[in-house]
Amino acid sequence: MIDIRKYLNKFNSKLIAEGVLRSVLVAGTVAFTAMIITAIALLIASVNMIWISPIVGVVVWVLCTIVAYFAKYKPTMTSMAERIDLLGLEERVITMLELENNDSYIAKRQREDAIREIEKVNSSKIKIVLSKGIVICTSVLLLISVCLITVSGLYLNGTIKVPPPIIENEKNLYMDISYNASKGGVVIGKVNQSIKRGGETEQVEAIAAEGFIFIKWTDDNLSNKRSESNVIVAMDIVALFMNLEDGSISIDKDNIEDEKPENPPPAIGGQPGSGGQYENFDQVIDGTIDYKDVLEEFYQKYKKDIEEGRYVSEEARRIIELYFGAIE
Amino acid sequence: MTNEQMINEFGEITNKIFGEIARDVIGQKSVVENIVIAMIAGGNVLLEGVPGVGKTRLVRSLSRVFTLPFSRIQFTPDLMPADVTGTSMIVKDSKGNSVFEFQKGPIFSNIVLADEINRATPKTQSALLEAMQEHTVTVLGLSRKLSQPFFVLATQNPIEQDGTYPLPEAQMDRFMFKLLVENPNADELFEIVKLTQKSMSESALGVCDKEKLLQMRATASEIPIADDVLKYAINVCLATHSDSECAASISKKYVRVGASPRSAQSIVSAAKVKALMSGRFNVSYDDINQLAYPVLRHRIKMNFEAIADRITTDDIIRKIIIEVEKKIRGN
Repeated sequence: MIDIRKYLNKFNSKLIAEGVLRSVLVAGTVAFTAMIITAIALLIASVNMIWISPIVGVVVWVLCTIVAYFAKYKPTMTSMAERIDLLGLEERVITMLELENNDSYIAKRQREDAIREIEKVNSSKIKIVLSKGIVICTSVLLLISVCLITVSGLYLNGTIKVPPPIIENEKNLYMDISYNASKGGVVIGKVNQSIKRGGETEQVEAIAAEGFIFIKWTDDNLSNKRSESNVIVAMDIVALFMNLEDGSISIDKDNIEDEKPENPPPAIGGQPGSGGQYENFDQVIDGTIDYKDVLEEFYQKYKKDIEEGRYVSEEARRIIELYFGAIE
Repeated sequence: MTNEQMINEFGEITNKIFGEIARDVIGQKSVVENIVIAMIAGGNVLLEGVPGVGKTRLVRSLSRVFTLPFSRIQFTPDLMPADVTGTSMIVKDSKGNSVFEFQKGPIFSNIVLADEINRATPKTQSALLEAMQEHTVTVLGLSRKLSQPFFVLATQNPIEQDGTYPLPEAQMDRFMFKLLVENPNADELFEIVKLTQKSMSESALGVCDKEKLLQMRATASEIPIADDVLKYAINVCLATHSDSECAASISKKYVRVGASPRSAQSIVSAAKVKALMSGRFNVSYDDINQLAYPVLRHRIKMNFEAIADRITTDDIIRKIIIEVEKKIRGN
């Protein structure tokens, strides 16, 4: 009996390659889908382990390729015969396979005829045929999965930050920012500002008056100069100053010098109230007391104390000497 | 001649047959080929064509090539069944007694040309039914066998329909093929006119006798057909049924009655002959596709929508083949 399989062997390698390629492509669609699902799950759970996704993909890909090849795409003798017949052999090969164990004269003639035709066919005529649909599907899924994994990885890493959502009707909202000073100092700069949502404020500076020192702002900001960025709520901030009269707080002179505004308030001894260029000093600090009045009151109190021979602390005496000149 | 010799010489004999017929009939190669296939496979043929395209000449030529007795019946509305089958007549025997003796009608021949079959009444048309299928004729309760091979070749005119009786489905189904005889082209007509100016009589020589024809039929029936190809043929036939699970989409829309199981038998028997004629020892999908047209075109009954949309049975068969190929073969 003739071993008809040996005549089909020359087509074997190409059909096996085709089977493997088809399995790889089909498994690819499953694997890339698995990668996408894993990446989405990690993203939702905010688990910064995006490397799991490609690993899952590779494992699924390998397993599915093996399963697909052996379950569906491994070339059988029948499938090989069908493919060879498509080369113009007019179903000679598939019939020959069916008549493999038939010894009749006509079966013998059929076999001879089929073998003669097979020998005429060059194995290179068999082309690897892949479905366009599956190639496109796999490519698209690959692209989506790679993009999704990259973006997810960067997001979970913190490289990409998602800006807070801006509600459409709030885009043009303006926020009122107000800087006020408590007793003992002033805030210079634009103290009332109306800022577009998400915008920045102009810088302001808290300056302590004589006998006071800047402590902090009511929002615990310790810097006397400040500006706000990314304003999303209205603010009403007050600069806090400490009275130095009780002497409990040491005053760093240099700091005061450093923090002095370009145009310091006029020293007592000059002409109080004449400093027209210090517009801000004339503002009402707490709504009731004028800074000019405070200085005047302070001046009159210590002048009277000294004249009447009352005790004036060393600290107060030093400040008076420093700011008001010799009283005696 | 042994079976092995016949297998080896089959192609040669058929080539000789075609060569001889070509001496009398110019062109019509496809019709001649299909008639020869039907004769070898043991089927009857319905020829549809306008008058004067050489139908009768073809049949006469066939009878010469196969050296078979030939009879012609011109079907007319007043033709009676007894005119076809024959009848018992009272005759005097050798002793002078009156006895009934059966006088054979023209159907008792090997090749019968039923010319313009649709002009006879259904009663007369039905006289052919038994002969075409069982190859017997029953008259007055007595069945008589027809000599083998028996072959009916009927003709009908597709244009003149006045005073005709369309063949019933049962009769149509008994024709293995319905062949459309087209008008010859210019070159063929040139040859025809040239040939018939010399002589109107047929000149084909006998190259195949009765015994050889029957042996060819037996040999062809042994040609193997792969299960896949057989399933394909069955699917093509079943796809003509609008209510079948294999129905093609065009059948659901346009077909009232699909092809009978006899169509599947016919297509496979004919495909085996065609394969052997082509020098192959197996049936191919192409054999089935090519023979689907003559086998199915008279077995499909279309609905009104198909007629209104001017859809022909050949259009339906073409689409069925495309759909079944895609479904079964995946291309």
